[in-house]
Amino acid sequence: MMPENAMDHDKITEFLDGELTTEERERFQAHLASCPDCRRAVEDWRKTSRVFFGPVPALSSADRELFVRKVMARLPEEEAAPWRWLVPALGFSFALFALSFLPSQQEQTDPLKTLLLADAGAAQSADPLDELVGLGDER
Amino acid sequence: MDDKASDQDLIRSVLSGRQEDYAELVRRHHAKVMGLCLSMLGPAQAEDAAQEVFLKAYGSLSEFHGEAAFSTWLYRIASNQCLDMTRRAARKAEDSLDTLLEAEGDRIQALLAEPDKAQGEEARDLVGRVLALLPPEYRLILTLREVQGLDYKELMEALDCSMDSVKARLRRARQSFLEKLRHFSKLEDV
Ligand SMILES: [Zn+2]
Repeated sequence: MMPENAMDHDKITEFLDGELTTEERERFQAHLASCPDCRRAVEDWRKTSRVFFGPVPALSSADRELFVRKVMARLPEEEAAPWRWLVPALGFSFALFALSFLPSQQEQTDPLKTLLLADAGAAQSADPLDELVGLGDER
Repeated sequence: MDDKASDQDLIRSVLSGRQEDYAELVRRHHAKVMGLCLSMLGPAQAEDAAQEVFLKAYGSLSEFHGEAAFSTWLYRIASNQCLDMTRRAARKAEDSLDTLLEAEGDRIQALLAEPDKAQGEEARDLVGRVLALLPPEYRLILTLREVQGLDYKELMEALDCSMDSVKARLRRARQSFLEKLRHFSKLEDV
């Protein structure tokens, strides 16, 4: 019964890798009992694997932490992501917005301050961030 | 972000600008990446290679969509890195596997007879020299499977190939290595 036998030989890779179902594994083990070639291949591979593909030596946690620091030090400069500016930018805009009410109350008493605040207002609307955030017109 | 956060959470956090959270991802996956690099390249080159893997992964983090586990995705980057470096080293090697196996057949036979003795420095050196002369693709898939313990599904993802291809490659890699060992070091007498 060559075809059936050949099919069983073929299962050797999956057998070695633990990828057979319980039923398939039992079937292959029965085949092993009657097939010296497969038995030898399984034995030979297990020896070979132990010699040539043994576990790598464990790494210490000190080595690991040193490695983490080295990688982190080599990461590219953090790109300024727009959504990270958003919180301080909105806060800053709000502060200027609130401040812009002050001149109308103090206009007569402190002209210099009014001038400075007007400049700040002009600089503020020229800020490209305002366009990005879309608050420029609301102020 | 605390150490109970999932890899996905950490990745999202890094992508949203918290670069410092990448440290925890490196910490978690250091042993796997470093282990593969050690097996494939040896101690002299392993650390540089592993650093490159994490730098490359950081650079393409936005391309990770979580279809596979993050560790498997890292294995894919690490596999390519190791293959590149192994191939470069292999071009420089003058020795052939056959020559080495022929010269060291008796010592290899002794190791195979008593695998527990393969731990000494001399034995590890010989093992390293044999592995260095295996075709890089065979060495990679055997290392991922036998040392790192990846199953077929993980191998498909790490090697970016089909299930049939995983099986065929493993079968070929083992067969070819066993045939050479049998030929040069009389494995049948072990
Ligand atoms: Zn058989």
